[in-house]
Amino acid sequence: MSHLSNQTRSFLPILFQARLFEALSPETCRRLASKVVLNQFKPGEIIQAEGAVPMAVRCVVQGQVRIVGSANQGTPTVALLNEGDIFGWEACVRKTTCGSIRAAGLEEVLTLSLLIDDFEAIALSELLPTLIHHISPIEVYELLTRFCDSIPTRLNLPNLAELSRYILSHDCAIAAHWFGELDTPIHLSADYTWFVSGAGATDLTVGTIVGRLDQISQFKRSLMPVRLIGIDRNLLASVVSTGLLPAPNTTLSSSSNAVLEQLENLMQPLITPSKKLNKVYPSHSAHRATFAESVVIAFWNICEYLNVPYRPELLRQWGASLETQPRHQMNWYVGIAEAFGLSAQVVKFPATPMGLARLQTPAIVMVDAVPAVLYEAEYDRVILASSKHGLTQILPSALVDRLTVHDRLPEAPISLAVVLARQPQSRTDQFGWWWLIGFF
Amino acid sequence: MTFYLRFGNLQLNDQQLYDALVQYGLLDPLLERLFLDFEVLPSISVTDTDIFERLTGLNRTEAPVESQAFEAFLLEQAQQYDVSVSVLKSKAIREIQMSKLKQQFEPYIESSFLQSKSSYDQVEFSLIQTSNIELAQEILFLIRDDGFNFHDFAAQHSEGAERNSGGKVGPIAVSSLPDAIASVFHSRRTGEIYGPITIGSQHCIVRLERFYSASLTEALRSEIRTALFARWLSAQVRAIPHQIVRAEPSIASVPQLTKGTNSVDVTAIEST
Repeated sequence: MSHLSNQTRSFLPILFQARLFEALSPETCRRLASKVVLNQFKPGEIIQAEGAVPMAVRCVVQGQVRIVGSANQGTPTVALLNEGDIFGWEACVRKTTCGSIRAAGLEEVLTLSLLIDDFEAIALSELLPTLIHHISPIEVYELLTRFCDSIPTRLNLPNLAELSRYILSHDCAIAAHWFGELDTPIHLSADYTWFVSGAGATDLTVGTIVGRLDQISQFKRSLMPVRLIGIDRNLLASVVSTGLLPAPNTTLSSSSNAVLEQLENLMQPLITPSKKLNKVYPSHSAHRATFAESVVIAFWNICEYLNVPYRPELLRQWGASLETQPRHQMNWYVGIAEAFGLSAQVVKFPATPMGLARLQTPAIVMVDAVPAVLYEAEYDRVILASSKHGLTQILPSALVDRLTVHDRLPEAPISLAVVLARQPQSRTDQFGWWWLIGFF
Repeated sequence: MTFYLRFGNLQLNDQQLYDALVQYGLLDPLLERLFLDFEVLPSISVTDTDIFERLTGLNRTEAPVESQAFEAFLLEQAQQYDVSVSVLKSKAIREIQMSKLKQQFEPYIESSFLQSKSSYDQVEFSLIQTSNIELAQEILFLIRDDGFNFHDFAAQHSEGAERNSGGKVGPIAVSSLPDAIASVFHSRRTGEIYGPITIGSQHCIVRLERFYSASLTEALRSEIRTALFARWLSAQVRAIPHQIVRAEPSIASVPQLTKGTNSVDVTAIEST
C-alpha cells in the first residue's frame, strides 16, 4: 500500500465502508487496497460506454455517477450513484451489459477502481454470498425492458427508469444464486416473478421468466451461478394492469394478478428436462477457403445452434459482395444476424482469458481474421467453431492471441464480439417445401 | 479601344474589371439591373397621378389635373427633399415601375405560400450550444432527467450569443434553422428537450417554447412577392447569353443600349 498517493489513501475508508465491501476480511482489504487506482472524470465523461464489458469495478468517492439506459430506449437516467456506491461488479455475475455509465454533474468525478479480474478473484472467494444482497439499478431496468420487449402486445407501463427506482427504493426485488443441479435447490418464492438476470451458466437469455428451477437448463460449466432476480408479483401485477406506479402508502393486493399470470405462462421457457444435456455444437465444413465462405459457415453454425431457419445458399449467392465488405466492422455482422431474425449486439471485451469468460455466449468473434462462433467461454476452456479449424476446445489463453484486436488500452487489448440470441418472434420451423410456396 | 478604371494606385483594364465583377459576385446584380432598366421597366407606363400618389400617399382624386399645377407640385416636393425635380421624378418613376412589376406576381403569392407553408412557420426556442459533446450530453440529462433549469444552464454554459438571453431564441423562421434542428421542431411538441444535435463543431440542446404556424400576413405577402420577383429576374437574366467582347468605337456602349418595349411575361415564374 506504500505506493498509494495520499489522495488515494484518503479515499480508502469510503471504499471499505461501502456495503459491498464492509464484510471483507482485513487481509482481503489490505490486498484490495494495494490494487486500487484513483480515476478522475470530467463532467459528462463516459466511464463505461454502451456495449462495453466493464474493465473495472469502481467506487464513487467524489461527485455523482449517472447510470443511463441504452440509446434505443432514449438514454433515460436510470440512477444517480453517490459517494460510496459501487458499480461494474454486475459484469461478473451477469455476463451482460446494458446502457452506459457517465460522470454526472458539472464537477469532476473521482472513483477508486479495481481491475475486474482482481475483483472477480475476491468475489469468488468471499463476495459471492454478499452479492445476493445487492441488486443494481441497471439490472432491474434491463430486466424490465427485456420483459416489455418480449411480450407480444404493447403494455401501457409507467416510465421503466422510474419503475426501477421504485422497485429498489421499496425493496420490491430480491436476488437468488443457483449453481445448478448439483447445488442445493433454492426456493423461488411465489410472491415474486423470477427473471434470469445473469445467464453465464445457463442457456436462457437474460430477462427470461422462470417459475421453477427445472426450467433452468444448467449445462454450462461456470464458476459463477445463475443469477435470478425476483420482483414483487403484486407490484408487477398492479403496474401491468393499471399502467401506473402505486400511490404512496398503498397496500398492494394479489387480486389483480390475472394478466401477469397469463404473461408469465406465455413467457416461461418450454424446455423439457430431457433436452437439457443433449447440447450439440454445430460445425459445418467450408466449401472454399474464402472469407465469404467463413461468414456463410459462421451464420450456419449460429443459426443451427439457436434453432433459427437458415439456408447457406442465401448467403453464398452474395459471395462476391461478402468478399469486399469491411470484415472487421462488427455492425456488418449485426445486420446479417438481424436479417435472419436474431437479436445481435456488438460488445467490447478485454481480450484476456477472464475477459472471454465474462463474455455472453453464443457470440461471433474474429479469430485469425475470420468470423468464428464462440459457443462456450469458461475459465478453463472455450468451445469454438470456425470454417478454418472446425469445432475446437482450447484454452482461453490460446484463443486470446488469435483474436483480432480492436483497441489497445493500458489495462488490456480490447476485442469486439457480436452477442447473439433468439428473439421472441424468431422462427423455429426449418426450411421445407412450404417456404417455396411464396415463389409460385 | 481599351477602357481603364483608375482607383487610387489601382488600374484595371476592361478584362480585369469584368473578372473583378465576377469574382466579387457583382456581375449578376449588374446584369439584373441592366435588364430591368433597359428591357423591362421602360415598357411599364407611369402617369402623373401615379407620381402624385407615390410622393404624397394621397388618393388619385386629389391629384392636380393641370400640367402647370403638377409641375408646381413637383417643384415643391423637390425643395422639400432638397433634390432637383428631374432626380425626384426619375426616382419616383422607377419605384412606381418596380412596384407595378412586382404587382404582376400577386396571383402567384397564395399558391407559393401554400406550397412552402412549413418554411414560413416560426418558432421560439431555447438553445444551449457547446463544443464539448460530453458536457452537452450531461447538461441534457441534468435538465431532462434531474429537473434543472434550462435558462440557468444556457446563461452559464452556452457558447453562443443566446447565452445573454438565457438561451431564448426567436421568433425565427423554421426554414432559417439548420435542418437537424428544424426537423425536431416539426413535431411541434412544446416543452420537449432534444439533443445533443451536432451542427458542425457545436453540440446543441434545444427546447421548443412556441410554434407559430404561418399565416399569409401583409408582411409575408410582401416577402413572397419579393422572392418570386427575384427568382423570375434571376431566371430571365440567366437565359440571356452574355460575354465580354472587344468593342469597336462605333459599337454602342451601355448608355446607348436600345431600351426594350417588350411586355413583361411573369408566367415564366411558373417554370422556374
